[in-house]
Amino acid sequence: MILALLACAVQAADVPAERPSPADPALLTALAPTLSRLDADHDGRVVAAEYDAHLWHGPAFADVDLDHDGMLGPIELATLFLAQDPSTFDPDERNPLAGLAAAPPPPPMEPALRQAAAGGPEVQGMLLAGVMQWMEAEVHAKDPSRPLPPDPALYAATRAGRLDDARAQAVFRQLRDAWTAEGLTFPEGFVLDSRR
Amino acid sequence: MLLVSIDTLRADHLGAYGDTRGLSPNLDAFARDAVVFDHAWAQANTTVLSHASLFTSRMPSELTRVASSSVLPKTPPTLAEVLSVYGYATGGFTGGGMLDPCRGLDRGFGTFRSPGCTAGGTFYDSAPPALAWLEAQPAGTHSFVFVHGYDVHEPYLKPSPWGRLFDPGDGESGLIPEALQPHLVFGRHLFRDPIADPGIANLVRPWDEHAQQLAETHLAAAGDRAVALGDGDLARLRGFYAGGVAYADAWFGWMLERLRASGRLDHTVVIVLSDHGETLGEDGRFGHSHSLADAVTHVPLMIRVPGATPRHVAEDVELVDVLPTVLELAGATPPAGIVGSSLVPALHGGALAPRAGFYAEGNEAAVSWRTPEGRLTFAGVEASSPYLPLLLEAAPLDGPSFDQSTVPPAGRAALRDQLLTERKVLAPTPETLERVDAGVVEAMRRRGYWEKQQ
Repeated sequence: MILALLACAVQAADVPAERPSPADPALLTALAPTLSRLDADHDGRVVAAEYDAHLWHGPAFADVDLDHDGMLGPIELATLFLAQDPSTFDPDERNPLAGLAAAPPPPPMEPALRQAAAGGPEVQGMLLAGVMQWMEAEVHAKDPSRPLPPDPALYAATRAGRLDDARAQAVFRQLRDAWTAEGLTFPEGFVLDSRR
Repeated sequence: MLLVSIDTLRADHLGAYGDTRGLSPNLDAFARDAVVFDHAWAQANTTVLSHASLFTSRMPSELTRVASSSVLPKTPPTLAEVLSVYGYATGGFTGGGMLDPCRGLDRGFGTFRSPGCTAGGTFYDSAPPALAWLEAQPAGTHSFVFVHGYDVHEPYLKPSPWGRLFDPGDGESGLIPEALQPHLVFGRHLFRDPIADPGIANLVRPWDEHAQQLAETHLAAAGDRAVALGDGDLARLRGFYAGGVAYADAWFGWMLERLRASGRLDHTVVIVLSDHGETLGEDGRFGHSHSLADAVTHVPLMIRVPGATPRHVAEDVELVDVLPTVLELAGATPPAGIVGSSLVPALHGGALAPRAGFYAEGNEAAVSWRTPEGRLTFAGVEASSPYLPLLLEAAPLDGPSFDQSTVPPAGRAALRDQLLTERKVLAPTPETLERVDAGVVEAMRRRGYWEKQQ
């Protein structure tokens, strides 16, 4: 990081052609409010203590104070701005607490995600399983003694099926009875034999 | 034309929208020369769906399955495609991730640059090449450049000193800043890996009383897999988010000053918006894909047209209105089937036609209808599901599916009828859908984007 900073400051020609120069007037204008924000006591100088108050994995004040005048100047702030790439979207770096415990069990929704990624008719089964979960939640709200979340194995079976699948129809019939018992109007179209 | 999309930026964090902390001095200066739409609403709560909607002026479910793995299909026409037909040179420069060719969102751009399908680049990556591309266009060329960055998106902490510019200081947990990851926070606890915890994984639906009960149940068994947070910890997270706003503001300021210095600003239409906002713990969660609350759907929309009188527009508008607005400014005819309306009358001081309400579709199984009376949100069923109208009609208005609504049960029937009407006139979701690579889905999951198990 420090090397990168110095390289930017000392030899502007090393800056990629499309990146602005630390001395770009447009950049200095844009960063002027940041410099004012850092100047906590409003004396027109950003000193080490004011810089350190916001330091986070950045270079030490001595390394950004390139002219060693004890202040962070506009071009020094611009140099710092251009030298730090904020792209830290690597998921491996996203959870510093991940190492605190043993490796986690397989994610419970992995099969569903795989199916979603692959596409195809199994999406229909996933949608039906989602409908079942939704219906369970509505019944649970009326009767909290019913289990929530629902039995994942039941829906895992449905997830691979279709509306006319025997397992799906069995679940929907159960749900229809539960809805009716709770005084709810079960939506039409899910229990196929009810239309005959 | 310059279209700037600042991913995940809440409207209420800009001075132009009432914030008093000074997070956005450059954007606020721009706003003083622009037409500011005080009440602009996003159609979706994720980057891919909101930009797909922005680029086509269609609702997300008309385009694809409303899910994290979705891809913009090869139809209908995009804004860049239409402008290309009218002779515009088009360039897109993004932070990648959901705004990458792997999601189909490069369609229509003559030049498109992204750091990759699993990247999360900021304006640090996209703004310099975008300006270089614009400045390289021959004189007299009509140009349209789209610039996007994840500067405000999590991970909130941006480089020093911007990342901690608004940090209020240590929290009660003693967690170091990089450990305070917003997508791991559920209520007042930070879970080591909520995806791997079956109990917490089921809390993908927005925070409500049932979710609270489940969280407490699973917290008891979580042991050292969870860390209790205090008000100070949550305030720190909000401060880190504010630092991201300041970082994005600096890059935006550079783009604008560069245009000004080159003389282009006087004949460039500049549009600034965000694809969605962010909840900052108001509902027990930090993020956006789980919610259609105002914190997520209320986005900044500011348009600077040379010669137009700066003003604030009070009428509600939507991001789907951007495409017809840009095309009218360009003298182009919008494609058939769009759902937005041109905002050009407002840019010239006129009034906009009143609308009954505003429809939005959420990534984690929800749709909402926002009216002056409040917002009706129906959750639990995928927005693109063909069963949604049936279930919406059958759902008890006082049931958990409507928990996120801001209107009381007594006032929900009329709004449900309006929502059903709105939903039924939309084109059905295509039956054949393109999907991103399974590896990308896995990478998204690990970043806190995961889909309801259905």
